[in-house]
Amino acid sequence: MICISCPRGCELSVQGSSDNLIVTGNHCPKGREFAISETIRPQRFLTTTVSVAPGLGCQRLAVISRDPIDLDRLKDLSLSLKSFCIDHEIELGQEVLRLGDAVFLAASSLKKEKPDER
Amino acid sequence: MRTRSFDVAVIGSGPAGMAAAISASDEGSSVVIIDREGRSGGVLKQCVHDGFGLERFHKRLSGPWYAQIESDEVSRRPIEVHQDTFASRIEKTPSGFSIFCSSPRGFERIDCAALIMATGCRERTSKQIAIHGTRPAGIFNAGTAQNMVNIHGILPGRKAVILGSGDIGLIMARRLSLEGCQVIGVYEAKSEPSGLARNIHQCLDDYHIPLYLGTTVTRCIGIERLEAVEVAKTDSSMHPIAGTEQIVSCDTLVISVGLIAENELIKPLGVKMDKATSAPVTDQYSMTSINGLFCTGNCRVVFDLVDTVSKTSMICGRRASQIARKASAGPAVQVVSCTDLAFVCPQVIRMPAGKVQLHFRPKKVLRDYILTASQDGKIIGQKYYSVLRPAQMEDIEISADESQAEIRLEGESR
Amino acid sequence: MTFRALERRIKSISPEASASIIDGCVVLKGKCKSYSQVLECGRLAARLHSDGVVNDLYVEGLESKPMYISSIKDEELEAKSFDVCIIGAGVVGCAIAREMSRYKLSTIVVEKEYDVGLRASSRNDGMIHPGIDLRPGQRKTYYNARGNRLYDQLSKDLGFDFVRNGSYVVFDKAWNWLLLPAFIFRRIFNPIDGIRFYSRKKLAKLQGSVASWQKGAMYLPSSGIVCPYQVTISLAENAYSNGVRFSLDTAVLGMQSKDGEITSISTNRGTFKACVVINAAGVYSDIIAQMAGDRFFTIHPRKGTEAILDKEAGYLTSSVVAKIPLGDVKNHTKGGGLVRTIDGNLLVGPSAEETIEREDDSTSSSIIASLFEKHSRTVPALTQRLDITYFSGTRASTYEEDFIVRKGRRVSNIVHAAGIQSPGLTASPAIAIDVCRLALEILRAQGINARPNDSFNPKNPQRIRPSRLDDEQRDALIQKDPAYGRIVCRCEEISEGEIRDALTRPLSVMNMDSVKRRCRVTMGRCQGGFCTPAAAQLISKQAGIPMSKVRKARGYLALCPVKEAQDENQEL
Repeated sequence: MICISCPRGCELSVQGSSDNLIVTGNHCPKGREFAISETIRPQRFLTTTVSVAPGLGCQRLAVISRDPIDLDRLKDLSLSLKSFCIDHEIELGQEVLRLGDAVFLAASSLKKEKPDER
Repeated sequence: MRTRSFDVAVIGSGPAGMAAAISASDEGSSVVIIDREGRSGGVLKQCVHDGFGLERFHKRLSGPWYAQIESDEVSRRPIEVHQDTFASRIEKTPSGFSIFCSSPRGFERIDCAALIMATGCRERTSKQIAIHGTRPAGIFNAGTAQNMVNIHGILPGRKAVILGSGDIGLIMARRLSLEGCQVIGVYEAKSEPSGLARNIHQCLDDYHIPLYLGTTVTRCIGIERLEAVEVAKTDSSMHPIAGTEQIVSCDTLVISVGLIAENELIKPLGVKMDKATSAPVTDQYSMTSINGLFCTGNCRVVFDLVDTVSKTSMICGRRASQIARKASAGPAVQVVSCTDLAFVCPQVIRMPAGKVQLHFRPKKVLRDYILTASQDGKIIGQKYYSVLRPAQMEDIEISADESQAEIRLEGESR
Repeated sequence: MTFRALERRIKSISPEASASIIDGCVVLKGKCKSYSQVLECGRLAARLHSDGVVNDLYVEGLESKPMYISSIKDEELEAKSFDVCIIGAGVVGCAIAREMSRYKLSTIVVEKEYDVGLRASSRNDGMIHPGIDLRPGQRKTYYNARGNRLYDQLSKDLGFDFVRNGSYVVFDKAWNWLLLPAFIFRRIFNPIDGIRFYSRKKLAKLQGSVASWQKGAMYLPSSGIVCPYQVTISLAENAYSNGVRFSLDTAVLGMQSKDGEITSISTNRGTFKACVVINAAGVYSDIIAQMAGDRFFTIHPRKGTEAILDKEAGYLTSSVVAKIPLGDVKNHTKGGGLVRTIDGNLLVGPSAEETIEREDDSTSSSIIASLFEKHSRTVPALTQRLDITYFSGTRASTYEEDFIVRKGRRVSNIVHAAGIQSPGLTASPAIAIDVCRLALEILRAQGINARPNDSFNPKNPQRIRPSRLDDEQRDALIQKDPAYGRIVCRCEEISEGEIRDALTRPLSVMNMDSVKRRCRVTMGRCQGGFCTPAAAQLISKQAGIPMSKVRKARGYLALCPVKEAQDENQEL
């Protein structure tokens, strides 16, 4: 398995049973953490975009999940987000929506367009 | 025609331009940023995936988030940002440079003592890599497809083939997949992937997207919309092998086959170019062969990480501010690369230099490799690499004294 | 050659082929083993100097693809009636339409594609030929010389770019000088304006770069360049503004005739009547003639490919450079060369290959490679590295290799402007004048006396190109209209204002490639990598359609809005 914690991309190998996993190939503690979580319950941050109502300066708002999400739920969650539309001003990092226990934060701010702007 | 004057002008408001502007401003210069888009951030605005800022902020930020942190920093400083402004041409003047810009406010001239180019890259097109056949709708560069999905909210197609395993191609495979487009596979003409290993893992493996190495797209088929592509195996020089052609049905082809540094604006000024990077020769401060003209970020050399772009651009901005106030550039010493490396950047070092980082990529995969930098036979830097890959930019720190001899890089596998 | 000799030679090429003379034309029927045999027989038949060659030879298993027909199907033209119907909106059809618009007539142009000038008219090098390589006595030669002289006024009226930058035909052997008397002699029959001869030394001075083999050159000052689709679009815009109706996405599917006269024309958009039919259908002109019951010629498509180089390569020549076309005479091409386009790019090509496909626009790497190999002999500094794109097109060549500009042979109300290949772009304004005259004669015979159109305006609305203005003028323009200051396409420096203009000009077509041909957006070195989405957004706004409904050319650019896409993978 390849560690995705940083661009270095260490090649990790995991041995042993679930209560006693031995990780080799990692160059830092993050690699060990990743290998264990990847073996037991693989998770990823979900990044996608949601619709923005007219007048807020752009058509899509980039969002990122606050916490890692189970790998096998990513796609369903991403498709469920398609129906959301943001219609108010947003600050960077503000919580924009919740889907079950998944919380999504705004990855940029939204401001109402000034009348003289396009 | 309106004319304005600044110490330092920066063209491009992506991560490189913003970082350079911030540090030039902090150094006490009056700074203007000229950006052709309506919003700062450059291409980061459309890179909604995470993984940015790990080195600099120790956080997994997404592209727009990283861009916003930087643009908030810019707006806290007395930096003038001209959005929707296009630099049409640049002229050298006795006291620096004149930039002629078009914007909805008019056609104006901006004079500056130091000029920082932070114009980034463009993508190689399908025509430049000999994809032939017909040209129906449905053929996109990866960046264009990314812009359509993430900025405009339109999906380029429903059934996509991706050519090129560079990071942008891999990231688009995941992105399209997440948005409900079927990704048939990623095809790569080389025998090994061009992107980072972790991106193969989290973009392809996670979504069960196959990667076909040593295979390229040779032909497009379709009258109105793309209906299929022809793929073929490649030989060691990446040419298609006759007789291995196969037809793959799809409605979209996304191409991610490399980046070209954008330096057309300054080529007419006679700036010295490096064949290896297809970009200007620069010193450790990102200054080109023309005094006061800087070139930073991906238009200097294509970096892997935005963190490195920001870091090197901060150094660039500071220096530009000093040069704008008539600091001497110092004598230049050549850096002589070795045959194992595809390029080394910076290509010249201004003395006295102190500690300097050299960035490079190997031509091919090298294992157990020791790279040594020397000057006049004296070792000024050495580093061991368990593995070097073309997909991954590496660096070596050297400590250059005041010797005027050229800096030689030599390497060997143990 | 006698007919007997022809029969014998056809039989010796293919025993299953036969020749006969029907109504003054040589008709070839039967089977051949290969397409090259079909061509060989056709060429032989042309040597008989009959009224035309109808080559119906076929090769078993070899069939060309059917004509492209738009998926649009409606009753738009059903039961309508026109004085003149022009089939085909290439440069010839559009030039004719403009000539017809000088008269008070109801004229319609039907075109199977989504825009005008999409086939050979936009797939050529844009050269306005001096006519040096044309044989005296051909219709080509006559129309080329007349057409060439019309371009100055035409470009002024219609506002398209035109430069008479001259061309060089380079001698590669010292003995080429011996041909000089022949060229001078030919001029008596085929007048070429201002021809001059240059020594090697003079050539080096004028051109900047000269290869060692270049011994001298002939300079032809009447040679010029245009942007071929800009010419076609300009002609169409002007015709449209003067009252001609254009029905795009309209393919002629059949014609009904009675007593040697076409009574109605069927299309995918309805069946209508026209007093005169003008056949300007390019590679399909023989099929149109067949539908009309007036076929006396055969089109054998000849494909050509050109490479377009970055403007950075423009320095290689300031005009057109070609080698003396001795070796290529038998292929009926000019041997190709380097052409600096009106926009400063460099064209390399074209190639010439016979094909059974009438609209094969595909390119192949082997042809591109051979183009570079061939032309780097003329200009050694030429490199494939600066290649930004390439294109192919098919020439509408007949076996006689000459233009057909005449009334029908058996049908009283048709005029053919057919078999028009190079130098058709140069010739088209002159062809249009003659075709218009013939059409008026036919109308007069039917009792229709066309009166001049008093409100005819020869001029087009001006094209605004901010990047061509000087700095002060440009600033003043932007102060008046800020849209001219916002640059959308950075490679070609095209502003939002210019895109808006392209979408609001007469006969504008709301799709990416049509806008591209009208204002050059997406045409630069990044080939639309950056500006495609922005341009698509402007089109969607102007046309009042969602971005996902904007077409690239024939097909949609994108397939659906992100929010509507469902998971395709789960359907597997």
